[in-house]
Amino acid sequence: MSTTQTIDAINQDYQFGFTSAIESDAFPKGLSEDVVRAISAKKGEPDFMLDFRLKSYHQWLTMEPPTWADVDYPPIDFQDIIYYSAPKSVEKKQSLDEVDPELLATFAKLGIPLSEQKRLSNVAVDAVFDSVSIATTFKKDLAKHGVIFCSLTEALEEHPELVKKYIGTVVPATDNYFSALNSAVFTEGSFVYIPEGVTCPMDLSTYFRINTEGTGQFERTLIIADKGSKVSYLEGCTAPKFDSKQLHAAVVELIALDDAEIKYSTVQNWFAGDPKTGAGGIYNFVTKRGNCKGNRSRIFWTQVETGSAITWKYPSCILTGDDSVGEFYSVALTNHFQQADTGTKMIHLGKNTRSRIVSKGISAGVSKNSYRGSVVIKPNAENARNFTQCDSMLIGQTCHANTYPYIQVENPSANLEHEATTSRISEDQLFYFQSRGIPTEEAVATLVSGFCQDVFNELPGEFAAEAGKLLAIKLENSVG
Amino acid sequence: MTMTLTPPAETTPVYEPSSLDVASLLGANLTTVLSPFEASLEAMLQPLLVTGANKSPLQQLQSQAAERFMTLGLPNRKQQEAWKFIDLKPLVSKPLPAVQSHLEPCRLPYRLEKALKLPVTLTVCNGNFPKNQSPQAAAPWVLFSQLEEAKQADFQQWLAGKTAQEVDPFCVLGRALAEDIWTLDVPANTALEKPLVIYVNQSQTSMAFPQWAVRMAENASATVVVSCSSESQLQAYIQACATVTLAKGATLNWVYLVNHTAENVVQLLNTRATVHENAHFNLFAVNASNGTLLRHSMDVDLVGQEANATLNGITLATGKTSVHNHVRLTHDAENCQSSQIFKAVVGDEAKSEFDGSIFVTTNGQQTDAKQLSKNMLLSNKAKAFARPWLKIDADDVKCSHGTTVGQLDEQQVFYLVSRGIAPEEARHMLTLAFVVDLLSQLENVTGIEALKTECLTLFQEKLAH
Repeated sequence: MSTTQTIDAINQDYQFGFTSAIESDAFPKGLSEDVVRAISAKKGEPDFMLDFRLKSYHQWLTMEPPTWADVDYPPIDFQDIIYYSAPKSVEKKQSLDEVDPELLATFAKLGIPLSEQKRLSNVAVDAVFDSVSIATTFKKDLAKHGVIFCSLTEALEEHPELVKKYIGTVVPATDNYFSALNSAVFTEGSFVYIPEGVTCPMDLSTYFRINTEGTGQFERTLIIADKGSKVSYLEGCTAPKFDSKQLHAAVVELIALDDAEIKYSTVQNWFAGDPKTGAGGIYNFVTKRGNCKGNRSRIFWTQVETGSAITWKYPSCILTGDDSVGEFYSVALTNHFQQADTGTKMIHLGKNTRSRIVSKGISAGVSKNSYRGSVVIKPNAENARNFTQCDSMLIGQTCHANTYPYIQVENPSANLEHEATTSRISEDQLFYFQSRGIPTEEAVATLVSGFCQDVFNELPGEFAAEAGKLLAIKLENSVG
Repeated sequence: MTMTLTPPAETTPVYEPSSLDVASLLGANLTTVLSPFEASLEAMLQPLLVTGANKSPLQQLQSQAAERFMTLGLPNRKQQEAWKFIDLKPLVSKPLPAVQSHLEPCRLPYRLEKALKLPVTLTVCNGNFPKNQSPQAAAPWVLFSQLEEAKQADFQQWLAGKTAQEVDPFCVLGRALAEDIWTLDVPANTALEKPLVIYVNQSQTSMAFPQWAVRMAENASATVVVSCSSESQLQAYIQACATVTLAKGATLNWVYLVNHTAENVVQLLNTRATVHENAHFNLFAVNASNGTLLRHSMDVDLVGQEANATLNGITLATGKTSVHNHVRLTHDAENCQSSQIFKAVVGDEAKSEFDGSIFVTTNGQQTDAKQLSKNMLLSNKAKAFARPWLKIDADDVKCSHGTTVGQLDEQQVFYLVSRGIAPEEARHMLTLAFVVDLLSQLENVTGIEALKTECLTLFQEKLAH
C-alpha cells in the first residue's frame, strides 16, 4: 500500500457541483451604511434591529480582519460582494405545487425531501435558498407544542420581543470582525424558541444553500430553549460549484435556560475549490456560540466539516449556570488545498460545570488542518471538569496537521485533562485489511470511519448516515 | 591551555547620533517622555549602536545584538501570544539596576556545595565576571575576548548567525549588554569527568547578563549545573543565555537550579540548542524561586538524524511568583526523538505557564515526540496556563501531548491522615510525591546524583514555610 494509492483513494471531485438558473432580485455589489439601511428596509424590520445593524456596521468599520488563524487567503474585497439577493418567487406558498418547479428540482437533486416523505421521517425543514425562506413545513405540528420555528424575518414580525431580548447576547456585534459584519448585513436565518418544559417533538433541520454567484451568505441563527425544554437542531450544507470565492460569515447563537438542552449538529460539504489548484471554493468564517445560561443546562455541538476552501469556526460554550454541561464533537477533513482552523472554546463560569471536547482531524493532499481550542476556568467555577481529546490523522507527505490548545485555569478545584496525538494512517492496519481482500479505498474509508466513531456516535440518526456517506465520498472511489 | 590575561584593548567609541530612534522603537509614544526603564535602556544601548570601524569581534557581536534588539522591540502582550501571560511590569516599571563593580567573594551555598562535592568553575557575582577569577579555576571555560583569533572568528560567525535568527528581544538584549561571553569547547571523544558548576549570585541590587557558548565536538560529553540565587531584599534583573551546539554523538546535560530568596528578581533565561546526528541534549530546570518573574525560553533544533532531546522542568511557585516555561522544539531530521515533561506546583497567588510547541518539518519523518505538562494548584488564587502546541508538516510521525491541571486528591490526604499523619504533613508528602518521579531522573546523571535529595529538601522547606 503506497501513500500515492492512499492519496488517490481520497481524491474525488465535488459531487454536488451544479447551479440552478433562478432569477435573483439582488442589490448591486458593495457595502455602505445605505446598503445596511436598505437591507433593513427591504425586510421591513423594527427600529431596534436597524439600530443593531448600524451599530454593528460602525463597529465593523473600526475593526481589522483577524490574522491569528493558521489560514492563508488573499484579502477579501468587501465591496465586491452582493449583500442581498432573493429568489424572485417568494410569496408564501400553501402547498409545494405553488413552488417554482426548478427550485423543487434543485432540492430533489440535493436530496432534500421537502415533501410528505419528510413528514414520515419526522423532520421539519426550513429551507433557506439563497437568502429567503421559501417554504416551511410542519409549522402547525410544532405550533401545537408551542414551538416557534421560523425564519428570523418572520420572528421579527411575530415575536419581536423574543428576538430583541436575545439577539446579540451570546455573540455581541463587537465580538469579532466577521460577527460584526454579519450583525450589520445578515439577511436571513432561523429562529427557534422552545417553551418551558417542552421536548421538541422532532429534530429541526435547515438546509442552507449558497446559490447566486458572488453572493455572500450572512445567516443568523438564534435558538432559545426555555426552562426544562429540549431540542435537537440539524444544519446541513451542500453548495454548487463556482469559480469565484464565496464568503460565508454566519452567526449562530444558542441560549439554554435552566435544565434545558440544545443539541446542534452540522454536516458541512461546501465546494472546497478546484482539487488541482485550490481555486474557487467557499470561505466559511462562522461564529457559533452557546450560552448555558441556566443551572443544569446543556449544550452539545457536533460537527462534521468536510468542505469549504477555508474553515474558520469555533463552536463554543459559555458555561454560566451552575452544573451546566458543554460538549463539542468534531470531525474535520481537509483534502487538496483546503485549510481548516477549527475547534472550540469552553468558558467555565458556574460551579460544577463540565465540558468535554473530542476532535478528530484528518488531513490529506496539501491541506492544512488545525485544531484550536481554549478551555478557560474562571476563579468562581468551583469543581469544574474538562476532558479534551484531539487526534489528528495524516494522509500523505504534503499535508499539515496542527494542534493549538489554550488552557487557562484560575480555580484550584478544577480538574482538567488534555491529550492529543498525531499520527499517520496505520500501514499495519491497511495491510491487514488488504490481506483479507478488502480494497485499499474501502480499507481507508473504514479506518477513517473508525477513527471518527466517537464523533459519529453523537450525531442524530439521520446525520450519522449522511456523515458516514460524506466521508466515504471523500475517501473512496477513483482508484481502479 | 595557554592564554594571556591581558584584557581586550579598550576602544573608546566616538559618539555619533544614531539613525535609529531608540524611543520610537521601544514603543514609546514620541510625545511622552521616556520611562525610567526606557531611558536606562537607551543609555546602555546607544553606545553600542554607534557605527565605527575598529571594533573588536566581541564589540561587533554586541552591536549586532543591539541592532537586532532595536528591530525586535519590546514584546507586545496584546499582539504576541508568547508574552500574553507575562507581566513585565516588575522589569519595566523602574530603571534598570546597575551592574555592580563591587565584588564580594561568591561561593555556592554551603549545603549545595557539600551535596555536590564539586568545585565551582564559574561565578557570576552581581553581574560581574569576577576578574580576579583565575583562568585555571575557570577552566575549561574561556572568555570570548581571550580566545585565539581563529577560534574567535569561529565563535563569532556562529553567534552572529544565532543573533540574526533570534526572535526573543530579551535574548539579544542580554547578548548586547553582556560584558563578555564564556565559551566552552569540548574536543572530540572527550568526556569531561566532573560536572561543571556555575554559580550566578546576586548579593546586592544589580543586573547580570551571563552568556555561555558551548560547542560539543563529536562524541564529547559534559554536564553543566547552573545554580542561580540571590539573597535578602534586593532588586535584580538576570538575563542569561546558553547557546549550545552538539556535534555527532555528543551528549550534554544542562541543569538549572533557580532559587532566589529575594522577591524582587526578574530572571529571563534563554537556552538555544542545536543537536546534530545521534547527539543527546538533556535539559533539566528546577525552579523554587521567590523571584517575581521567571521565564525560561528553550529553543531546541534537532537537525541530524536520530538526534535526541529531553527537556524536563519542575516548578514550585509560591507567593506572587510567576513562572513561564516556553519551549520551541523543532524536528528537522529523520528519526529524532524528543521528550518534554514539565510539572508545576502552584500555591498562594502564583502563576505557572507552560507554552510548548513541537514543530515537525517535512524533513522530520519518523519523529517521535512526547510532551506532558502537569500542574497542581494548591490555593484559590493560584493559576495555571498551558499552550501545548503541535505543528506537523510530515506524515510519518508519532506526536503526543498531554496536559493536566488538578489538585491534591482529598482521598489520598484522608488515607494518610487515617494513618496518623498530620494533615499538613500529609499534604506536603503528596505534593512532593507529585514531583519526585521526575526529580529521580537527576540520579541518572553521573556526578550530580545528590542534586535530587538537595532539591527535595529545598521543596520541603519551601512548602513548610
